[in-house]
Amino acid sequence: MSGPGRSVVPAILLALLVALATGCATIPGGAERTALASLDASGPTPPPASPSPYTICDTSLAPLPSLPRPGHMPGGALQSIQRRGYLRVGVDLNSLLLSYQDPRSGSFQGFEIDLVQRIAKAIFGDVRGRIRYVALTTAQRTTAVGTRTRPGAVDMVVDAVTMTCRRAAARAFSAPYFVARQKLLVPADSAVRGIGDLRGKRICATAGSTSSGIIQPAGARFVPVQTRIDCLVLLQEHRVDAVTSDDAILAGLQAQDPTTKIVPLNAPAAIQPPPGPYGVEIRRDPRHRQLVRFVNAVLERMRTAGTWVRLYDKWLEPSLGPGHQPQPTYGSLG
Amino acid sequence: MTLLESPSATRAKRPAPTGTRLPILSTTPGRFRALSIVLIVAALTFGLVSWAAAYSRRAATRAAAHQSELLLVQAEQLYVSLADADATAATTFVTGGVEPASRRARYLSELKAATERLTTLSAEVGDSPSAERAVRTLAEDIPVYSGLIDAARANDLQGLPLGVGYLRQASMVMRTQLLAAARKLYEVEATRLGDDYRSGTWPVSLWVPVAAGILTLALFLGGQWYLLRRTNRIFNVPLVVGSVAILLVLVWSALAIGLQQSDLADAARTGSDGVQVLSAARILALRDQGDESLALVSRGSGSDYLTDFNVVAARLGGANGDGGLIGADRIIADRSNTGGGVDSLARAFSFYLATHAAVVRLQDAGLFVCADRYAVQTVARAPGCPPSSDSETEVAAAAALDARLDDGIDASQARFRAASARAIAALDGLALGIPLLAIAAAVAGLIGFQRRIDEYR
Repeated sequence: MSGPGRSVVPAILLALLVALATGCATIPGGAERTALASLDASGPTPPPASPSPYTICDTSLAPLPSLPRPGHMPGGALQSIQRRGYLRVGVDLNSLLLSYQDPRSGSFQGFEIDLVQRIAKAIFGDVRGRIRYVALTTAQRTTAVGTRTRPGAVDMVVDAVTMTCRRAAARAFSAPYFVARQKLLVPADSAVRGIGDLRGKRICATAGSTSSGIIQPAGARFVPVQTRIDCLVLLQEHRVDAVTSDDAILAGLQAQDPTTKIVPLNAPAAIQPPPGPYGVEIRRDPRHRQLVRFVNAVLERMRTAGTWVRLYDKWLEPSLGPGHQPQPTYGSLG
Repeated sequence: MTLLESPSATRAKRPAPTGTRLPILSTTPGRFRALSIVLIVAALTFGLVSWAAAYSRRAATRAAAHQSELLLVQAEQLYVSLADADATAATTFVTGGVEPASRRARYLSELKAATERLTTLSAEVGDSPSAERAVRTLAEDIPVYSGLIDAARANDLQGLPLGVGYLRQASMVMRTQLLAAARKLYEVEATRLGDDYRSGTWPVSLWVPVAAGILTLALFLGGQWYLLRRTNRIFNVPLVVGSVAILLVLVWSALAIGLQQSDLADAARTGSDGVQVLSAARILALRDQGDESLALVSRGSGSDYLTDFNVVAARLGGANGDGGLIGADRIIADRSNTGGGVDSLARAFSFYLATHAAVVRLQDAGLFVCADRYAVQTVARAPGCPPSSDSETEVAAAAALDARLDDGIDASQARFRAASARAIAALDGLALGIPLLAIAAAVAGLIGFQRRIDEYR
């Protein structure tokens, strides 16, 4: 019997070898782990809350005594812009009433857009094709106009930038073109008459914005978002009780939802934020000094011609009530 | 004294011939009887062990082929449907103006498909609490998601930026709630398939029958050797037949189980591994498409989405389609020598990245309307836009990539089906063959000794 037994040993061995070889290779889960690990991509995360206190520095350079004729810019940055043929402007394209791009027509609209068009018209004599809007991200905003040593991607930023001293140390500002006041947006039937009524309630604001600084001192809960419009979504979904921001921004939100209203902050004097003047941001270097003075001259002309009030009434008056052009302070840039 | 010498007393004085106290072993026929019983028990035990091994492997292989893998595919398709709905919804907003009917239809049909798959899966989640939670999350949040999309749509139709706010919110619900829950379900099904693979290739169910077979064969050969010494007959025909039967069971089951293991390994290595990797790739590609659309509609404040795009693209295909999941798929394709599909996949991915880079350049330059146009509508030049550097829109490139991935998934699925069917077929006949042969061996063990025992009467 040992004869036949011996002859099948190789067959069994073969079977065992096959099984062993494949057995080692079958360790399952390799692909599953690769696949699952790849799907772990975490998306944009809610931003951290980091408000910062600020002081205002709203002094700007004196305007040019008279505006040069369009198409005849004297020199420096102004002449470069004229030679290039278009003005590069950093904006936010999601703020209805201030600056907004209609997704269908692609046209740009708002108080700030009209202001930019006045500046472009003063440089070139016409507007069509003379402006290139660059929507800025929060990260790009701080260096968009360039630093003392490095040129920027745009000639100016018109993006509801509050003229804080910290910003003014690194960039030049025009005279203020609007003075914002921080307010609250609440449901139209809300009894809230100030931030004092929101103790323990949830208030939405953009992460890292100056407006968010008041929320916690007022005893309310801060709900940070990435972009302003997200606050209105949260308010409509009743996931926050109020939104706080500058009145010009809130006006843009209120215009999209007639069931909301804007109420003043009415905060205790100790935490009431100062009015926030908006200035046109320009690079702070000798070649751009004339551009700052040029923009200030355009603003002065808008005052005397009544253009500012016309634009304000067109865009912001319906939500914010009557307003007037802010008084400039001229001097050196500190 | 003869009266005193009772037979029992006489036997008691005599020493046991074999030195053991078991009475059955005191005589040659008794020892034959005992050996016969040992052989019968061994043959039947061996038969039972190899039958159980073959049965458990067949059951596990069938579960993998006919249940787990199908459920895994269902879970993957649920995931894909949700990701597709999200990417489609976001892309609809990029076009602005009139909503293309086809895109709305695709969004609705993907959401419907997701709901249907959820129904199938929820009946099968078994007793896994985390899977139950995932099913509940999906059932609750799909309506929330579609509500947010509808709010986004209503606001967008009026030209309000609020529409984009709702779209972002919807996408967040999709990514943090729905896709996370779909991933959980996928994980449960992947684990289930992994368990089936493990029990289908459990080494014990190969080694124990082989060891039992060798032992039983040794006993049969030993039995014949013992008979040879006792009876001087060279061959005991029934025992030879029994030995051959045992040998047959041993070789057959070892070969069949070995083949089944090799085929099941093939099903995993060239089939379901590819399905899993490519499905994950498809989900990531859809996420990229959603990211791009959300970045476009965010009009410059979408840098987070662009960052996410890059992270996801790196996981999807590395820098130019040679890394990430596409790289992993190349390794899997090399196992079955089907690298051609991966090449066209890598090309589609590189082309997609090129179209994306062009659209991002336009966004960086502030030319959003041009970016929208070249991303989703047409690459035909528009006034005020620089000419497009690509031959197709980004959406078309994404669709081509998706189609390549879908092809790859189908091919892997076909390889899985073929290999798992071979694995099941390898075990065909064993369920009947093993018991028959084992019983035959046991009967041979009985007859072989019975004849010799009969000679002692």
